[in-house]
Amino acid sequence: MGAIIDERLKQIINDKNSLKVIASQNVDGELHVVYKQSLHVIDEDLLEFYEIIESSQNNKNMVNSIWYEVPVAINILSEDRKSFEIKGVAHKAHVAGKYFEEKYVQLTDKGYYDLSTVWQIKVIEVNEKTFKVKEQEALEQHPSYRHLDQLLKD
Amino acid sequence: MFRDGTSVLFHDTGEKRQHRAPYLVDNVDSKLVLTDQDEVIETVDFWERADYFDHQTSTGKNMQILIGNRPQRFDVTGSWYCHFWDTPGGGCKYCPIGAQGGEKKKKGEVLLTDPKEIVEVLAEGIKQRGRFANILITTGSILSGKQLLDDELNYHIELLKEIGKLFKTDRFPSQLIGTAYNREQLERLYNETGLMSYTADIEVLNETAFNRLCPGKAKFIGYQEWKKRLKIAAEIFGRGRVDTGLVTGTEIGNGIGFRTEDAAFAAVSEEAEELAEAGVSVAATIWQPSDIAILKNAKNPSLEYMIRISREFERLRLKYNLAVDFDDYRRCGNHPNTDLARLR
Amino acid sequence: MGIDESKYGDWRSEELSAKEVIKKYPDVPKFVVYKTDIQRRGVVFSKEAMKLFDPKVHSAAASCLFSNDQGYKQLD
Repeated sequence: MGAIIDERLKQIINDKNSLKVIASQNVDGELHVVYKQSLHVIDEDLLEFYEIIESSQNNKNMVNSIWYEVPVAINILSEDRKSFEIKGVAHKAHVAGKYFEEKYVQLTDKGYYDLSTVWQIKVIEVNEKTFKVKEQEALEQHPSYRHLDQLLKD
Repeated sequence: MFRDGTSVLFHDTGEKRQHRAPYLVDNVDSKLVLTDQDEVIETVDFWERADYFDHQTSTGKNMQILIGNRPQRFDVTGSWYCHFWDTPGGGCKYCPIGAQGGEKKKKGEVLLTDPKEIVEVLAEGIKQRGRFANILITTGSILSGKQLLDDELNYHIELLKEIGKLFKTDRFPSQLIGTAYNREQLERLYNETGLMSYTADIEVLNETAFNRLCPGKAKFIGYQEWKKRLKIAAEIFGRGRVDTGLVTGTEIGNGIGFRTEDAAFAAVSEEAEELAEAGVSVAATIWQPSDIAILKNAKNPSLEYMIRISREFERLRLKYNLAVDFDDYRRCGNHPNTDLARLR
Repeated sequence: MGIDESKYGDWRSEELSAKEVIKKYPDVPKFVVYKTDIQRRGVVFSKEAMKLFDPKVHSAAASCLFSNDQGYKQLD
């Protein structure tokens, strides 16, 4: 698809009913995956989410990403089952300043116990993974990958 | 600040340094950038001022002058004067604090800040939601009292008790950088206040260099006793709640310390491991020779040495499973090795 | 106007540069290396950089025992 988020994808990401998950690596290369429903679009190549717990594995892995440019992978699943994979790298960590405080106030007013970091992720690649789309691609690109009984005449 | 949340503090700026060219922060396309030899290295941001800067205390004092701050920390300075400097030659040779305190003393400025006034500023500052995550309290050493350091301890206890009245929890995110107290004093500090962590900066991790660089500290407490008191503090406050600061680089050269960086590294590592085993972390600060310190013409060591030391201290922290939450990138921001603790 | 390197002699040939240190110790992130080196060597601010400083928004001095209240120094 490309390296930017178009209007259609932006709406899906910003929809609170979409599921959003981030996969990341720690400094030893171990995988970790976690839901981040706060994920939203800041710009056509920039996503943002709120890390509440300072000591979380995801927070440490975002540091790993921003320090060593280790990619993270995000999957978005919309309510109508459209799916997108976004690869990116952590680009900025807001841990202080008015920008951070604004989010801190919003979140603690909602009942969250604190806010550690507002993470921004620079998008490198976007790929649609919607099942119907992938199924059609598979039919077109890999016609050999079919069981014969699927192809019998009625 | 860098975009990853790393803070950079500097005591003075580079044009006073003698031995190496400073970095240059410049403006490229309306963005603040760090450069070296005309090459852009990274974008940077200025720190933001706190809201309490605009306020005065009930006695008309400017709150900004009373309490300093970092991006997420209050810096409470109880006293600007260090009494190790009372004796000529007693002050630490790398320290600009002594000279500053001396100037304030000459001008007749109040040397001990009223705890109630400090709390007035903290209460105002904390109104800025999300701004502050730690309270650092420090004081120039006060040697007097029934036993050595009792007056300093009593001031800190009084101050911490006043601060504690602001919070609903028994303990609150806080760090005291005090002189090295004995067991009885440490127990009082822990039992009578809501302090969470304790630091007593040994600053030089080699006995010979310590004795040469810190004659007052050597005379009144001594290197071995300082280390012993740090270990006792870890027993009382808990492992991972006590550390000691190192003015990294003072232990090398300048006619005072080790002749080679390798020799210094080996010696400092050994001392740091002894402390880590006892539950005490070492927080490396980077020695920035100050033009108002005795060692104003000194040369600090190579970048490589500083990085080797930071790596080693992080390795020891992990080996002995020590948290350093209270002195990390956010709650302090002045130690490269505790910055590394963000990863694990 | 940049830094007048000639005042400082040939120090760059006597030790590893920040880039070389980053390469030699890849487990230490560049932010920590540069932070360390800025403190070690010092930093100055160009006139153009200080145009981005807004005293209503930004803080110039730490004003605590560990600073000397000089704030940001500007390169003329």
